[in-house]
Amino acid sequence: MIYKESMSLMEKLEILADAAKYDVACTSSGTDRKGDGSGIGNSITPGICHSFSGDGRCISLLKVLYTNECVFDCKYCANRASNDVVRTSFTPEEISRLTIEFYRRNYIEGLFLSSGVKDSPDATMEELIRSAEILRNQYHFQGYIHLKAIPGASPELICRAGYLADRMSVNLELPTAEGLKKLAPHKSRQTILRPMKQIQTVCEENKRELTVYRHAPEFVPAGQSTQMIIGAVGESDFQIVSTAEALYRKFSLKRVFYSAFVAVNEDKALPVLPQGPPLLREHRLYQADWLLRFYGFRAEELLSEEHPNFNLFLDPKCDWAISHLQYFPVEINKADYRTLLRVPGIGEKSARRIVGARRYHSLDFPELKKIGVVLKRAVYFITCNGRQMYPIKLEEDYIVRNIMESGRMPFSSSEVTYRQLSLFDDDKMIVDRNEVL
Amino acid sequence: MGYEKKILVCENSIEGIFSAVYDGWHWENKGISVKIAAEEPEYPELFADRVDITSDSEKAVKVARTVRRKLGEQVYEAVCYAAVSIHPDKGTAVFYLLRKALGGKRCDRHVLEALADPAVSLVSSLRIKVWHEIHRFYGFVRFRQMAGGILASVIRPENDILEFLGIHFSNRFPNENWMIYDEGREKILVHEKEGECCVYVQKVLNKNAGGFLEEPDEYEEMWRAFCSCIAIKERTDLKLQKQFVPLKFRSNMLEFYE
Ligand code: SF4
Repeated sequence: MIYKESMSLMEKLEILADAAKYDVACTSSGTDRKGDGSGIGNSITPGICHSFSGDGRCISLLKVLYTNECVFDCKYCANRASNDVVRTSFTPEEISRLTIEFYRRNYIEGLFLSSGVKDSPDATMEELIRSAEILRNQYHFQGYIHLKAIPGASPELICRAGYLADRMSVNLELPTAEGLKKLAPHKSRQTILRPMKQIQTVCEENKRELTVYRHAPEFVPAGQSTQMIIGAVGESDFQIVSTAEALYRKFSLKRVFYSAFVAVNEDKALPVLPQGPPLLREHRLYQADWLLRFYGFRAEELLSEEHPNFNLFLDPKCDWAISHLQYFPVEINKADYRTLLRVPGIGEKSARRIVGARRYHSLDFPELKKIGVVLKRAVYFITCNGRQMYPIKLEEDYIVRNIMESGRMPFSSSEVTYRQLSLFDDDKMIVDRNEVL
Repeated sequence: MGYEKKILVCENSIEGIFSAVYDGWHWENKGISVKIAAEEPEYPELFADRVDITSDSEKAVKVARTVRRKLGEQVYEAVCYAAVSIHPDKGTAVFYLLRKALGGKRCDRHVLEALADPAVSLVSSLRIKVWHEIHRFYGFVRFRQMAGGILASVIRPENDILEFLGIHFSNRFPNENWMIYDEGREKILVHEKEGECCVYVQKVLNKNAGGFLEEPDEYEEMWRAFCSCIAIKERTDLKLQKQFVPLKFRSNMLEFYE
């Protein structure tokens, strides 16, 4: 192991930010906290993006590892014990100072502190807690803190961390238990799910407590999230989406993030992806995730054992609608909100607007356009006062052909794809997420 | 004898527009159609009376109070955001939205949903634009530390949003001395430690805009390094980055300096 004793803060930052970049959850959403005037900082629910990196992702938090030393050997990770890379660690004083100085200059919303496992899970967790304690207690920092729960750390430490952090996360890493065993031999479903369950339980108790004692300390008020690597172990989309659904349901997760596998190590256990990371697949998963969380879809409505993967050429909602033509057309002036939401081309905001506007008068196609409905997708599936916009066959092949020809071809224009990807992320507030269709 | 149409020319501010709304209300009640121009009209209109409106804080406060009480905070916010936008028809749109909601003893708290109405539709689109800009600047303001620990920032917003940044940043940095300078409008928002925020419109600074900033310190350097380290090179997408941070915002964001 290469270990450099005296390193400047700048050098450390470069190494430990670089090592943290694959964690995709850089959001500051979910906490609404006004500054109380005693220190520095506040948080607003939708979060704030401070910048965007060269890969188009929002920069909201100082996202760094506390240390890139690690005793574990996860095959997909650049910091695994068997890799020969320069190792370094911050001190709690350094990391808290850096956070405050960045925060004062309005570069960030707060800190996202993750870490390799140095010495032991408990020892590492202690250091993360110490850093957050300095921020909260010495600087009276009221901005956002996201702490990683180190798999294997003791419940007492997880609990202490939770009272300092706005959000915590334990990464599921891989969508299947076999995948985890194969690629992350030092982790197990158990060491990952145990802290997740604990955070959920304490969170729920804390909510009850807060209804009685309004000033009780808050535990992980922005909830917990997790992340899965996509495309490293040959799992199907159905497995991924079902796992995500179970996480939302059984562990009340706020967010599941999907991270297209990037090959940083050469290892025979890892796939070779000459076309680069599976970004379009990741994009489809975010779309499906959105459908699960906000549009009332269930995983088994979208996919099945027989149809285990998403169509890369159609977004999951269109795909679903086309294979369920029996539910269409939908009458715009009558259908309830939930039914409207299931129409391709109608997003949350336009569905809400339709319901609002039709109180005044019945709606017709030109007005739908004003409301923000994407007619070139919706026309196949709707009527206004019993009429279609123009005579259209409600027939699968016909619609598929037309929708794909209407300029929605993936690959041909990468902006469309990634722009949408970001639209799907509710944490990026400067984009209107409700425009999602 | 006057014409059946009046153009009220007012100061380009919320106070100016609200004062014009107040005066215009009575004329509209008499069947005279009203237009509000917050900027000098480009060409005089032939069949309309021009009325110059002096901003009157009492009238403006009355309008504000009525809107808040009768129509609620959401409509009030929409009207304020529209009023600071750069759209030339904003004043008239605000006026007719309020007429629609409050005229003839009505009190329609859902007026923003009536998107078929051109005034409502304009106000609500301006509201979204301005809201977006405010929220962008929540993130994109960059303070530089100056002598004595004062934090200073220079911005160039499209809409006149400086005041709206005050609440957010005072709450965030109550114990700092900071200022944000709108270089296009030459006004500055100043916050004193533990105090209130004030906007000074006169040219407080003799030097050219931005020239008052001092040299960057080591944290700026570290921030630039951080921003370049955090990108995943296999996913590089500069076009997308540009959609989120259009070039016009970058002049004050040090991570984009070459
Ligand atoms: S625990 Fe695994 S994923 Fe985390 S730093 Fe260590 S090797 Fe990497």
